[in-house]
Amino acid sequence: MSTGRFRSALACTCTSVLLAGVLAAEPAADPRVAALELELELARTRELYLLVDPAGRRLEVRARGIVLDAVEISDVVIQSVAPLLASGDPPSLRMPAVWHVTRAPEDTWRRVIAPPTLRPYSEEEEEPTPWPTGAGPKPTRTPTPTPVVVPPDYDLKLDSGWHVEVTSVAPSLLGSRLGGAIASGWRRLLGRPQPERPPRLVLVMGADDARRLRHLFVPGMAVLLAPAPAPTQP
Amino acid sequence: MQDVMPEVAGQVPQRPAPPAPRRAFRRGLLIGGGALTIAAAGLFALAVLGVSYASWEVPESPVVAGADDASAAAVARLDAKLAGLRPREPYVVIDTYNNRLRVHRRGELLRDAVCSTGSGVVLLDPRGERSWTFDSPLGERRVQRKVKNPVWAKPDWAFIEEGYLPPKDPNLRFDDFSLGDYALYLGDGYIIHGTIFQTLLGRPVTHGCVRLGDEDLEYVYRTVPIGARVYLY
Repeated sequence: MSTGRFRSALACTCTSVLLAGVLAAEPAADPRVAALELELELARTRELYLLVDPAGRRLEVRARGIVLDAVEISDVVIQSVAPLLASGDPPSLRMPAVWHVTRAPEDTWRRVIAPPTLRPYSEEEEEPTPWPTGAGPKPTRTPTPTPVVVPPDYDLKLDSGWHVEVTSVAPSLLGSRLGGAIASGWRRLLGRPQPERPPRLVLVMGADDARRLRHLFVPGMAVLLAPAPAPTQP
Repeated sequence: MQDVMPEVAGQVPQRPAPPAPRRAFRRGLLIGGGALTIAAAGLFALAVLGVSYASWEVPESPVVAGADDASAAAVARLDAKLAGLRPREPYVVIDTYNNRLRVHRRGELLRDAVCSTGSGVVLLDPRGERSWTFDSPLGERRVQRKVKNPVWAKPDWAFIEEGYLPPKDPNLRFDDFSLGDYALYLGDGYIIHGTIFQTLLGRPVTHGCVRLGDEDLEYVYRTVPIGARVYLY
């Protein structure tokens, strides 16, 4: 093959590869296809992911495409900062999309134990445990369970720039809006900077559901925003 | 004969003036009402000046217009790929909030057991070196090995938690009792094992391991093969 023909063949191949890449990168037109493509990427890892279907009012805990648990959401609200007398347009909630938790709720509920000092280990000295035989080596003690109250309301920051607020109480519309606007107006009057207020997705659910999901919202947790397909039991 | 009040020409009879406390009350009402109106107007002006969160309902899921055969085929293909990722052998799902362990095979529930998972307690080493958080891990793990009559080599935290310095002699770390009759090792020190604290099953009391009652543990040991997947959430 001559150098010229080789070059043109190479150029043709490169163009084809580039075109194929562009076409492959183009998002699927059908949102169901796009959602499945995104889920497939998540399901290829060994990590959990959460599927949030805002319109279907459903949140699912998933791994490998298996629905491990599901929570019914009683209300979903999009919130964004707007002047009091102008309604404006809601921020665009692009779906399907994968968001990742970047800031989890603080673990203020955790119990912390710290022995003041450490003494050399002695088998004889070890405290007795409720072992039925009472003889032989002692099993390890178990911590006495103390009731822990995990808060049912928390706020998450995601890499999309949105916040997700999980709450057991539906947001009051007029009262909080008026109060927030007055506080904001006062700050503006005094020339103080306004706090950062990103768009929020508020998920209202039962208090126990909110508590049992809380530990799943760790930094890095993927949240797939998509219509939930027909449930697949574990 | 009736007594008639004498009328004075051109004079309208006047109402008697209210007593002083009532006048003060009315004046107070006027002043208070005025002040409230001014305050409300001020607050309203501030509210107009400021911004706050407005709420919108979430729009319905977009209707797939012209979902053609190509889309349906793509959905079917992707569904099949997703289904291919699901385990075929028995697998374990552990709900760490409700302390339940379930064994499934191809979607069928084989066993639903009460277990104990991580307490969430944070242990601090008083020497300021390390800390441990007693959470059960999240995500997918695999059963790496299964052992009958397991012996536990107690890690440092097991001593520190009880106020002891971790012993230098490794023989002092062995514990023949705490793990029960069987153990399924999940890696990184996490184990599904038995317990002598049966009354605490169903409560989050462990250091991250998953404890089961004797019968459930034996069932899991016999049903779940090495390499089986364990999903903790």
